[in-house]
Amino acid sequence: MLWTLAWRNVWRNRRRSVLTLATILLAVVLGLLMRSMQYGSYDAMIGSTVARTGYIQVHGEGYWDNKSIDRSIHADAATLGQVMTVEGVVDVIPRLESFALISFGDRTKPSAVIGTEPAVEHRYTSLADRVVEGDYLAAGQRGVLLLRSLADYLGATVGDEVVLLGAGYRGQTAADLLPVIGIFDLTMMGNLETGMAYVPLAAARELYAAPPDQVTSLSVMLDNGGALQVTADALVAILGTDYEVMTWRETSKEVVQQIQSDSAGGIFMLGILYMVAGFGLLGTVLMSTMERRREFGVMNAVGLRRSRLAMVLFIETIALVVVGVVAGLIVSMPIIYWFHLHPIPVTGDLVTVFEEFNIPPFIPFALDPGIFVAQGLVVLVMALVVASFPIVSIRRLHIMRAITGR
Amino acid sequence: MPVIDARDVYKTYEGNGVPVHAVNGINLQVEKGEFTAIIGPSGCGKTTLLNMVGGLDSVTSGEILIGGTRIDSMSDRELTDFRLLRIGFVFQAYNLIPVLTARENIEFIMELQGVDKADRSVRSRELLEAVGIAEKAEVRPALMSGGQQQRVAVARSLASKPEFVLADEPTANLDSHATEDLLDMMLEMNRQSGVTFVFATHDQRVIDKARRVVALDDGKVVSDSTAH
Repeated sequence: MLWTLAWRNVWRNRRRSVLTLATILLAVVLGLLMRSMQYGSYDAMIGSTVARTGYIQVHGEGYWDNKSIDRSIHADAATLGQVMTVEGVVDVIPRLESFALISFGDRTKPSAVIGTEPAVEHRYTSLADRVVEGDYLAAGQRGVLLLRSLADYLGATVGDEVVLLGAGYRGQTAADLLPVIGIFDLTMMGNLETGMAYVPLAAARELYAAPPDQVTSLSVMLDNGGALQVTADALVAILGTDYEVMTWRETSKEVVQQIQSDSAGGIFMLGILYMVAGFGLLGTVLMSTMERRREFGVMNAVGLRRSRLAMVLFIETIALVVVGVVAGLIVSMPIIYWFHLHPIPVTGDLVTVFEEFNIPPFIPFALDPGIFVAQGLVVLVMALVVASFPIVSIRRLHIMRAITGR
Repeated sequence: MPVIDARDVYKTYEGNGVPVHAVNGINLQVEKGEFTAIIGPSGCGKTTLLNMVGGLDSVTSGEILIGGTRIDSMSDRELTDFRLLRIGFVFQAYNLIPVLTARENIEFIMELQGVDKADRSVRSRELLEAVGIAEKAEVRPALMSGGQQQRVAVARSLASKPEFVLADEPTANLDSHATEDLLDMMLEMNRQSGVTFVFATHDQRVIDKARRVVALDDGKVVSDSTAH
C-alpha cells in the first residue's frame, strides 16, 4: 500500500504535479534535442576529419612536423596486409602527397597534389560525387582531377593538359604533363590560397620520382572509433618505431578542442536547464512535505516507521521524475529520429561556419543511446538530491509538534 | 496487571527559558475494560499525560508501563512498533490519510502489522460495520462528514487489536448528534468487546458517559472517581 499511497500523493495536487512534470518534460526534451544536435555535429566533424586523415594515420618518423616527401615510407602489400590484420581495421588509404606548381597557359598556382587509390578514396571522402565536370579518376590512369577554383584560375577545362612542376623524392625534379580528367568542387575549399589536385597513386609516384610502394601516409579506417587507442597501440607493436602512428585526436587537435569547448558550453546550458527544473521539483517536494507534516506525524503515531515514511516520500519524488523523464523521452524521440533522417539545412552565414569545419551544411541529430542514458542519469541524480530534503525532514520530525501543528 | 501504569511521572517543558511543569508527579493505573475520562481545564496536563502514555512524548522522569512493559526508555523505532501493535489512537481532527478510502485507512494499519490481505479485508469490513458506516468503505475522507470520519478513525484505532485506545478530544469537532452517536458506539464496543478507552476531554457529554473520571489540575491528579 506504500506504493499506492505514494502514487496517489503524487496526484494529490494535480495542477502542481502537472506543472512540475511539464517543467521536467521540457527540460528533458530541450536537453535531449540540444545534446543530440551537438553530438550529431561532432559526429559530422569527426566523420569529415577521419575521411581526410583516417581514424589513425601511419606515416614516417617526423613527417607530421615536417611534411617532406623525403620522409615518406615504404608500404608494400605485405605492410598493408599487416595493418589490415589488426582488429578493428577495415581499410587503408595509401596517399603520396606533396606540393607542386600547376600551370596552364601563362597561369601558375602552387597546389597540393595528392596521389591516392581512387576507389578507396571515394569510399571515404565521396570524392567521385564531387566531380562537377568530366570523370572521376581510375586506378593506373595518367591524369589529374583539379579543384574547381584552381581550374577556374588556370582557365583549364576537361581534356586540357596541365604542367606539374616541383621537388621530387630525394631532390629529384618532379615534372609531368597530365590531362585534366575531371574537375571537382569542395565548397569549403573555395577560398583556399593554394590549389588542390588528385592524381592516381601510380601517377603521383611517377611525378615525384618516388620508388614503388612509397607513400607519405596510410590513413587507417576502423569499423568504429571506440577502440581508437587500443588499435593505435596494436599498430605500433606491429609496425615498429620507423613508423609514426597518430590517432585523429592527435592529428586534428583543433577539432578535438572545438568539440570539447562546444560540449562544455552545452553542459553549462544543460546545467542551467536542469537547475531550473530541479528548483521547480524542489519547490513542489518541499511544499508537499511542509503541508503534510501533521499527516506524517499521525502516520508515525499509528505505527508507520520513519524509514518507511521516508521511503514513501522518496517514491513520490522518484515517481514524479520518472513520469516526467518518460514523457520527455516519448516526446523527444520521434522529433530526434525525424531530424536524424531529415537534418535541418543551414543557410546564410552559418554555411561558412560549417565549411570552416569541413562538414556538410546541415544540422544533423545523433541517435547515440549514450545521450539518452546520460540525460536520464543527470535527472536521476537531480531527483536523488531533491528527494533527500523530505527524508531529512522526516528524520527531524517531532511527532507531537507535527500533530499539533506547533 | 493494569494495561496502563504511570508511576510518578513528571514532564517539564522549557517555555521561553522558564520551565513549565505540565505533568507533576502523576500516578495512574488503568485496568483492562475501563472507559475512562481524564478531565481538567486547558493546560492542566491531560493531553501531555495521554501523549506520554501513548509513547508519543517522552517523560522527564518517572516510569510508564504498558501491559507490564516499560516504554519510557524505548528507542524511537521500538516505540513506533509498540504503538502499532498495542495502542490505538483517535485524534481530535480525525487525521485520516486523505488519499486512502475508509477501508484502506483501516487496512493500512493491518498491512503495517503484516496481516495478510484476506484477513485485512474481513476485519476492515467487520470494523466498518461495527462503527456503522460499511456503505462508506470506498469513500475518501474528504467526502465524509466529521462524524463519519471520526467513526473511521475509531475503526482504524481498533484495526490493530490494541490493548487500549487513547482518544484526545475526539468529540471536539463534532455536533451534539454526532457526538452522541460516536460515544454510544464506543460504549457499545467497550461493553461488548471489552475495549479499553481512555479519553482526554473537557466535553461534558463524554464525562457523563465515562465510568471513571480522573480530574487533573496543574499537572496533578486532584480527583479520581468511579461511577457505578
